[in-house]
Amino acid sequence: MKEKEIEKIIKYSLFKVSKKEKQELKKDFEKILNYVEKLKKANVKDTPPTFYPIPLKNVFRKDEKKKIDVEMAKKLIEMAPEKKEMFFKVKKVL
Amino acid sequence: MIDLKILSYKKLREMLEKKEIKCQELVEDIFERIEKEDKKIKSFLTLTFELAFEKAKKIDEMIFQKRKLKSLAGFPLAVKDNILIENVKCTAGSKILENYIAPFDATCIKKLKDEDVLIIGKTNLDEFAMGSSTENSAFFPTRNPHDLERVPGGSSGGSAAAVAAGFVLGALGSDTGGSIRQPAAFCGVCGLKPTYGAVSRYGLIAFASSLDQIGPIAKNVEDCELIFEVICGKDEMDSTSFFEKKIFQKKEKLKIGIPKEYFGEGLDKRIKDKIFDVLKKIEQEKFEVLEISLPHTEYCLACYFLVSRCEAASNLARYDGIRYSKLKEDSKDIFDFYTKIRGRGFGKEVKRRIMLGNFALSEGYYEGYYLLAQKVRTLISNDFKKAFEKVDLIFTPTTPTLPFKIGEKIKDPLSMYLADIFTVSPNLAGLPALSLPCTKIDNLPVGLQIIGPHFSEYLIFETAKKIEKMF
Repeated sequence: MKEKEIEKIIKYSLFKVSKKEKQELKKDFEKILNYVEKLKKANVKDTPPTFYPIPLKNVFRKDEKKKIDVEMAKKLIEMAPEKKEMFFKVKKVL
Repeated sequence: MIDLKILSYKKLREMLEKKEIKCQELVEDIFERIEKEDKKIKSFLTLTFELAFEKAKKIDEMIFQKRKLKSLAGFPLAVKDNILIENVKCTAGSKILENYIAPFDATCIKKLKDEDVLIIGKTNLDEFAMGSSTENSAFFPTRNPHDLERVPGGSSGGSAAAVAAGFVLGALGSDTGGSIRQPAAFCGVCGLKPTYGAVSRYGLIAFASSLDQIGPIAKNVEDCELIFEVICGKDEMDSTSFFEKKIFQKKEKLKIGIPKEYFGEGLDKRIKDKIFDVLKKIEQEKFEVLEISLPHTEYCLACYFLVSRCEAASNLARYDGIRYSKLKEDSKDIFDFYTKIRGRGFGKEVKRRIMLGNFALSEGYYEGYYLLAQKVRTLISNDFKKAFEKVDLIFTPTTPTLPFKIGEKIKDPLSMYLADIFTVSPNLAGLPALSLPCTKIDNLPVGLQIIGPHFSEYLIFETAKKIEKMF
């Protein structure tokens, strides 16, 4: 696997890693990718995928108005490292 | 001091009801023992003395007033630290959630609190339940009570070790590819992964949503069943939850299938011989044992790798440092902030898994990896469907090896992953499976895995109880 490809995956995964860590992750990644190659031997012709192990059908809940739990909202905001009134505070986006 | 190692809940309840012991004394005894003995084992991350003691006071009062007790009154229970308990820290074994206080109770916790269990504390785990030894915990590794040099298994290693050490009668774990059954086998206790959807996942920190299940760990099958009975059932907060108690017709002889693929290369010969001894013994007791084949077994682990990593990459995208983490970082913009927080907050194994997931879901690779794995998953599920046309239950060893030494596999992730080789297939097919301690080798426990059709938990319990009596 090329250096650039590993860097691309690390970028997708949104983490900063050191050079040493990147080399170790690359080595492990190649080994695991090599292991999963065996799936290519399986005959999956005409086989549908299983996304959920139990057959599920969509069920709608009743269209009822639910009370807003202000206390819960406060608790959730409280958890954030940076906040302002009832909002999460984030770094500059643009 | 009360010794929980030799008590069942039935006996403990009898003692409480006959006033041979007060529930408050029981709680004090438990915390004294943990204080003394958990220094070596390190099964707990957080202790919840006040929660347990308040409940104990209420139970003592009820006993004094001769009121009817709830179904699990006074049951000392530990909870894996990826299941939320209101106002109690929940770390998922990760630095990124080090100071996270759960804002609500998971559905299973609410149900257990309603039945008056004593919640003793939160147990150690591999970070985000990713691992097979509890060595991936960001805080410290847990040790196996049978041999402190060895791992307790994982990822619910803290829960299994706390039960085996006699700190609690039972515990909750979560199982995505064996995380209840493998530590149960390594610690010589019982552990059930229920049918997918049988227990609500509301309030469980998600790892891989189509595989995750919460389940009980206890010293014996009966106590496992008692916990399961309370936590199973439909929950409107988890749209995948559903439970139907299947009644199986009583049979003169239960047919047990032994899949030949689970007894080949990679299985410790001593375990193989011991499991065959067990099978010989049960054949004499109204069980018919026959060899079966699950032909796609060789693909199970690779299929599990891809499905679980893809779902994990998606689930763990929420840890952005904005809403939960208390980690601070100087950063120039939001992207810089995310990457620094996640780089520092996640451990190596979590990073490996997120990377593989993102790779297999990315453009150009999705069909060849993720979609292919989901198709192979259908083949694996079909193997089980066909097998259950011929047999009632399937027996396998729970693990290919005995508990390994701390540090032995941590540097080689692939060899660590192989510890789950016998346990991942029930998760892929959504089947219930229980690990039952059945024998010992060099004083280390060996687990027998009992796999059943969807919603056959009660047939599994009934069978496991019969086998439990034989050993």
